[in-house]
Amino acid sequence: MKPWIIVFRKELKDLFRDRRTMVNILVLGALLGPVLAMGLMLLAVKMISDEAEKTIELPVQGAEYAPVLLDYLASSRISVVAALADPQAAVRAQEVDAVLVIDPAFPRQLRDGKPAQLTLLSDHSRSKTRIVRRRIETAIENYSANLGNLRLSLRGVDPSITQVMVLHDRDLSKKGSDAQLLAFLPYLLIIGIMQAAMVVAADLTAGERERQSLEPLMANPVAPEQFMIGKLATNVLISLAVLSLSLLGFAAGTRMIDLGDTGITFSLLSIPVLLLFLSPLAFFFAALMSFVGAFARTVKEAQTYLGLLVLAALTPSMIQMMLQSKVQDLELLLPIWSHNYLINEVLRGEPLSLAQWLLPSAGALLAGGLLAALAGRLYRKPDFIF
Amino acid sequence: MILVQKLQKHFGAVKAVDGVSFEIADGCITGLLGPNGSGKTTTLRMLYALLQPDSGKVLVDGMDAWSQSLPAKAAMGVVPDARGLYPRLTARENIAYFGELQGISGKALARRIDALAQELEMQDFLERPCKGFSQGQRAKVAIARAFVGNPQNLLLDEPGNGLDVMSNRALRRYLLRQKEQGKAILLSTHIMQEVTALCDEVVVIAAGVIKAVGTPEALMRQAGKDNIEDAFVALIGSDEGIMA
Repeated sequence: MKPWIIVFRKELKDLFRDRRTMVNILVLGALLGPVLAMGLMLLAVKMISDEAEKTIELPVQGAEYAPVLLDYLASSRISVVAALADPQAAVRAQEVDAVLVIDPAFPRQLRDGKPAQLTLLSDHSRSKTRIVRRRIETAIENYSANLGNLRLSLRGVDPSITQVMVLHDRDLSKKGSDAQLLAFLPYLLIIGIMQAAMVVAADLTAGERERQSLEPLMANPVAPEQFMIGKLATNVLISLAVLSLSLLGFAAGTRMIDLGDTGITFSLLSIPVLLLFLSPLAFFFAALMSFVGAFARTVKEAQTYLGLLVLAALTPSMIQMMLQSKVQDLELLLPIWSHNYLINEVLRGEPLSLAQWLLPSAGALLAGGLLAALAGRLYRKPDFIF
Repeated sequence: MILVQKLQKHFGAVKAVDGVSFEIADGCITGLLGPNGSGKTTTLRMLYALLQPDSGKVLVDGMDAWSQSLPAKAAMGVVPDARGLYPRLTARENIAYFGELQGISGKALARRIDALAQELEMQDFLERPCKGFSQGQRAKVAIARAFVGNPQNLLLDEPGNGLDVMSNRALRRYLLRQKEQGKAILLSTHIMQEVTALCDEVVVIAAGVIKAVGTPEALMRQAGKDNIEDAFVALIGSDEGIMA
C-alpha cells in the first residue's frame, strides 16, 4: 500500500471519531448553507408577493380636491386613509411607506386642462417601499392616461396617435431562473466547501503539531510529501462530501418550501455537474488551507488564520454577487471568480462550454498544485517539524 | 550498528553540536549522557534524519542517514522526546498506524502488536482510546509503535521521563532483552540510575562536544570518583543543569 493511502485512511478514521469536528463540518458546512438559503428565499418571495398583493394604506393630504382619482386608486387596492398632521415626519419615522399630497390648485388645473400637480412623499433608500411606490405611480399614471385618452376622443382625435412606439418586454431567461434569488447560492456553496477545508486543515496539520505527534511520525521511513498528500486527500474528500450534502440540502429545500411563482427549481441533474465542476476548487481550497495552516502552532491559531483566509477568499464571490458581470476568456482561469459565475450559469440551466469546463478547472488545479508543492516542502523543514 | 562521524550543526551563531563522533554497537546499550542543552536532542535528530548535519555523517548499518534516509529510517526505531499519541485512536490503532508506515500489515502486524503488548505489559489498555492515558501508558505505546517494525537500531530520547517505578522496570527489562537479541540501542538520558542499570558504554556530551567515552566503571576511574554522578560532574567540568 502506498504510504499516502495509509495516512489517508488513518486521518479519515481519526476525523470521524472526533464528534466536535464532524458536527462543525456537517452543521456549519453542509446544513447552514441550505437552511440559510431557503430562509432567505422564503423571506424574499414573501416580501415580493405581500407587497404586490396587499391593500396599500395611503394617507392623502387634501383628499377633498380629487375624489374621483381616489376612487380609481381604491379599485387598484390602494385605500385612502386620513391625512396626517406631519406627513414628512411620518415617512421619515417609517410610520407610513408613502403619503400622497394633492395641491389645492389640483381641481382648477384639471378643469383648465393644465398638468395637475400631485406629490408623493417616500423614502427612496428603503427597499421595502419600492414596490408600494411603484404601485401607486402605476395607478396614477394609468388614471392620467385614461383621462388623456378621453380628452383626445372628445376632440375627435384617435388616442393611439400619442402612442408613437410600443416597447414589448420579453423575458428570455430559462424556466427556473430567478437571477436575483439565485445570486447568493454560489456564495453559500463556496462558504460550505471552505468551512470544511478549514476545519480539516486546522486539525490535520496544526493539530498534529499541538499534540506533539509530528516528530515521531516523521521518523518513519516515509517520504515527507506522502504525509502531506494523505492529509490533502482527506481534506478534499471531506470537502466534496460536504458539498454533496449541501447540494442535496438545496435540492430538498427547494422542493419542501413554497417558492410561489418565482419558478425556482433546483434540478437533481445539476448536482453531479456541480460536484464535478467544483472538485478542482475543493482541491485548491484544501491545498491553500493546508499550506497556510502549516504555519500555525496550535489548532486555535490555525482557525484564526484560516478564518481570515475564508473571508478574503469570499471577496470575489461578494463582488460577483453585486456586479453579476459575465466572466470570460482568460478571466475564466481565476479560481473562485470564475466558479462563482459559472455555478450560477449551471443553476440557471445553461450548459457549460468546453472552455468554461476546462479553464476554471485548470486554474484551480494549477494554483492548488503549486500550493500543495509548497506545503510539501514545508514538511521537510525542521522549523515545521519541531 | 550506527556510526556517528564528526557531526556538526549550528543554529545561527550557536554551535549546538561540534564534531561529535561515537559508535552505537550491536548487542550493546550506549548511553548519551549530558546536561540540558548539551546537544543530545540535536544529535539524535541528525541520527534519524530530521535534521541535516552541517558536516560529518551518520551511517546506519552502512547506509548514510541523510542521503539514504528511507532505508536508514527503516533500520531505526525512534522514541523522540515528543511522544504525542492520537487520542481518538486506541493504543492498538496507534501502533498499527506506525506499523503500516514501517511496512508491515495484516496478520503479521496484529501478531507483532500482541507480542509487544505482552512484552511491555500493556494488554489492559491495548484496545482503549489513548485519551486520558497515564504517562507510563503513553510511554509504552510510544515505544511499541517505534519498534513495531522490529528495527535493528533503537533510539530513545529520555524514555524514563515521568515514568513510575513499575513502568520504568518494565521498560528496562524490555531494553535488556532487546540487547540480548543483538540490537544496537542508544539511550539519551540525564538520569544516572538509568546509566548504571543499563548502559554498557557511556558517551558524555556537554556544550556540543564529547567529553568522555567508556564503560561506567572506566568513566569513574578516569574522573577519580566512586560514583557515576560525581564522575559525570567532574567530566563535564560543572554541575550546571544536572538537577534540572
